[in-house]
Amino acid sequence: MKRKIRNFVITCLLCIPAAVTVFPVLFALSGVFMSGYELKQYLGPVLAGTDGMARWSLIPRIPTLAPLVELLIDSPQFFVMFWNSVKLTLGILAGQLLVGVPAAWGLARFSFPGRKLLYTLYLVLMLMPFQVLMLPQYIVLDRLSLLDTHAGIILPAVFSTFPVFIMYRFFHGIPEAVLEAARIDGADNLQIFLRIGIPLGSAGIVSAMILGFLEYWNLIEQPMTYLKTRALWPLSLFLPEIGLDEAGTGFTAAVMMLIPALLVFLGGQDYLEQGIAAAAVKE
Amino acid sequence: MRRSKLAGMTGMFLVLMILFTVLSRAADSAGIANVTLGRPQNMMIAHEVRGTGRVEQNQERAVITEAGQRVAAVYVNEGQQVEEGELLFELDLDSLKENILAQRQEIRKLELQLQDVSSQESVSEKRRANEQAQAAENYSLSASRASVSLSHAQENLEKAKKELKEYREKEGGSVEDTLAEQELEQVCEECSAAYIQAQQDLHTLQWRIEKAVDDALRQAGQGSASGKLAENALRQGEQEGASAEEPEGEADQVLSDSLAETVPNTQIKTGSAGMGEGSKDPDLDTILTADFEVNISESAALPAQEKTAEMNAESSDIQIDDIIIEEIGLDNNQWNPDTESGGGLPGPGLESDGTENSPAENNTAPPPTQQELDRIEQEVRSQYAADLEAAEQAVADALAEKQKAEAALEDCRQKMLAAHGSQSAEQEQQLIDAVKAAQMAYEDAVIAANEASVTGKRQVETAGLPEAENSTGDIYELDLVQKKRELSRLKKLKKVKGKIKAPVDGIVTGVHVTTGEQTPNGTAVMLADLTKGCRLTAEIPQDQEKYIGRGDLVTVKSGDGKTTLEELPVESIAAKAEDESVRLVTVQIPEGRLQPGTTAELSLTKKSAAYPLCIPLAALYLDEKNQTYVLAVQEINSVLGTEMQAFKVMVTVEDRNDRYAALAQGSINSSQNVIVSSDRPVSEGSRVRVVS
Repeated sequence: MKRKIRNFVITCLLCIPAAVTVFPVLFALSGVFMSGYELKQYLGPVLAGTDGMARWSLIPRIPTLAPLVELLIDSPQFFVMFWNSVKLTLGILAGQLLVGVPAAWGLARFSFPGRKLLYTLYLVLMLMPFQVLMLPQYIVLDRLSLLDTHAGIILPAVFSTFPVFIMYRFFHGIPEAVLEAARIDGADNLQIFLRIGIPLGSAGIVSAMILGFLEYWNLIEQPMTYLKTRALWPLSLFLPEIGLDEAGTGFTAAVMMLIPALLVFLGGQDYLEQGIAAAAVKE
Repeated sequence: MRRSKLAGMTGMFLVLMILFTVLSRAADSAGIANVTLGRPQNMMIAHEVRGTGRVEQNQERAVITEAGQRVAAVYVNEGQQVEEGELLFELDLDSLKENILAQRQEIRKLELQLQDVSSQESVSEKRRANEQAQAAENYSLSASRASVSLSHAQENLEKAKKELKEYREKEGGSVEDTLAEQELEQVCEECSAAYIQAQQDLHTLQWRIEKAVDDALRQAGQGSASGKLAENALRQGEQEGASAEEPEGEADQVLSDSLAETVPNTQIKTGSAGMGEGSKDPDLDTILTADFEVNISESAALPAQEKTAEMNAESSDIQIDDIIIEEIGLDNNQWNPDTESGGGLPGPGLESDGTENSPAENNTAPPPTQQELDRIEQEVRSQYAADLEAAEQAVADALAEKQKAEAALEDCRQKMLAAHGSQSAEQEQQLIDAVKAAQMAYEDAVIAANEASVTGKRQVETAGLPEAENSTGDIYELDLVQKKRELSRLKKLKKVKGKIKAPVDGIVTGVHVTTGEQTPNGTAVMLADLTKGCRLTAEIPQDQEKYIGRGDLVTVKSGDGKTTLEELPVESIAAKAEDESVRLVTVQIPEGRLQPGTTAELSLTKKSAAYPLCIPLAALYLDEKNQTYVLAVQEINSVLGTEMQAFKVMVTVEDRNDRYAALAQGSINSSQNVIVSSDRPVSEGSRVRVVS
């Protein structure tokens, strides 16, 4: 009995931070079904400078689907940006698969002079924030005439060190005996990589992809820096263009933007946890 | 399983996103206006002025005939074209003859009435003449009667004085007493003369006041002139009032002058018998003798009365103490002014200067109310109030002086009587009393003579007043002339057997007679005079007025399109009276081309000079400040890619017609494309799709 009471109390206490965490999502969801007039009443003091204090109601007084219809039917710009985001994300992830997986396999399984130094360099690069890399990348992309192109976003991200670091952990955890057995059976390095390394390190690959998807789906700094053509902008730049008059559309766009991330999260939740755990393991 | 569901949901999500991408693209595409671009061209702006109107005749002719004649037949209808001399309508001859007969009877009636009026005026004239003669005769008789009484009183006085004088000579009194008594008697006589003079002045003034009041009231009753005439009377009164303020010692002369000025026919003759400073008779020294003559107009037909008055005045040779008799100024119809004083001023209240109103003006003025008449009388009397008071005071003073002198004389005589014996004193007292009685009788006779003179003059003047004007005869004469003219016209109608014909070639535009009814008072038949031509009066909007002017050659097309007349000059352009936003353009139509009443259209095309920047009118927009602009297009980089967007270019319109507008150079050039057409409304910032 006491245990139940304790559990209940703990649950209640945990619900408080959980509610605080979930509130933005509920906030956005309720805004999808609010009319523009109601949104102005609630957010006017913040967004339009009207008198009073901003307030919010999670239950719309007059529920409406007008913002949803407006976004889906009358906002082709949203879909342009959506597909731009899809293009950038999938391009980056595909590139990381092609480049990052062999790199991680090589660092994890091959011994060569300077491996440790190279790995350390990877770690240092991973720790560098975008602000540090922005100017060098800009100069390089400019020299390569990749500014204001999606390739200018995709290529630098393809060579990101973070997925290599994640996958390195998983490839490094494959027992050497398994690989030795394959060699005895006559498998060469490529076959070992493709037939033994990728299957056994798939969890790491997937977790790196999921983490990468969540990062690049919300990519905002690089497009703002390197993309001038509005037609190339990803969905993350759609919301800053929304004003109070289109607040409903903004909430709807936020929810729509959340859906792919939510699906990916739900589908790769286990891998995500493994990936985060792998990233946290100390060498 | 769970992952497969998630995969399915993800797939579904992507499919939905693809679907909505297509839908939103389609919806967006449907909302974009398809526009056509064009460049400004170098061309001329042609202004076409069009207006429709009706052809009207230049002149209308009204056929008018005598009103009240019965119509036997009407031969024309509205819109019918007639030739000169063509029969329009016909009058009933029987009715016409009856009307002529009735007109003759009316004329005869008027002639008889005119005769009656003439007869009445003659009788009235004679009656007035008799009344004037009667008044003059009465005046003459009363004057002679007063003269006789006065002479008798004077004789009795002299006789009493003579008896007293003889008695005293017989009694032999002291010389000193006698001289003292004579001096006192002389003083007493002077005082008596002064009293009589004062009485006479008072009566004269009272008569003059009444006369001035009558004149003012009569002139006020004659209409608007009353004010001026009353003012004249008042002014005259003021003048006389001023003259009355002269010193007392000059009263006689002043009064004489005043009367001489105010009464033009006055003649004053003084000292004709025993008068003057050199008179030896002491009793007569203070007596002023005046004879008078009354001139009566010959037109008054009063020769007998005139002779009587002259005979009485001359034969009596009266010595009247301080009497001044003035001739009476009467209306010129009754009295002729004396030639010697013809240039004198008219009498008070009767003056007729240039400011006097005409009878017509008098007729138009409203009659004065009783209140106004009272006010006028009050004003006139107030002008004389000071004079009257002074005259009354003079009478009272003269009377007091007279009584004082008489008392002194009485004391002197009582002393003289006391010196005599009682027998002789009683006898002398009787003689003295007789002298006093005679003296009083003489004074009464003088005053009575003066009153008779004043009363008689007033009666004569009253009889000479003009009668009110009577215009009945003149009105009858005017009516008679009018009736004769009407009869003449009726005779002319009868002569042409009541047939009314068209005076000119024309079109009947109005028929106001009906068979069996009487002809109206105005127009019987209205004709459009074809000999004077016709004109087209077309209406055009006011804003087109600047493109057409007098003398411009226009094309006129009849409403049915069958007749087109080219190069007709514009005769006039004027604003329509009922609507200021419409202008009436008048064009003369050549004779015989279009009939009055026809609808026609007027048109004129005027080309301007060449403008380098001309755009279709559909490309020109007007903002909320009534400023003109065009929409050009530019490429924009949007989320959807490169798009065309409209933007505003403000322009100045130099000229325009219903299709093109000429723009001023500067804001736009000939190489810039502007939106000239669109399949939906376009405004600044609209995304557009250029179709050509």
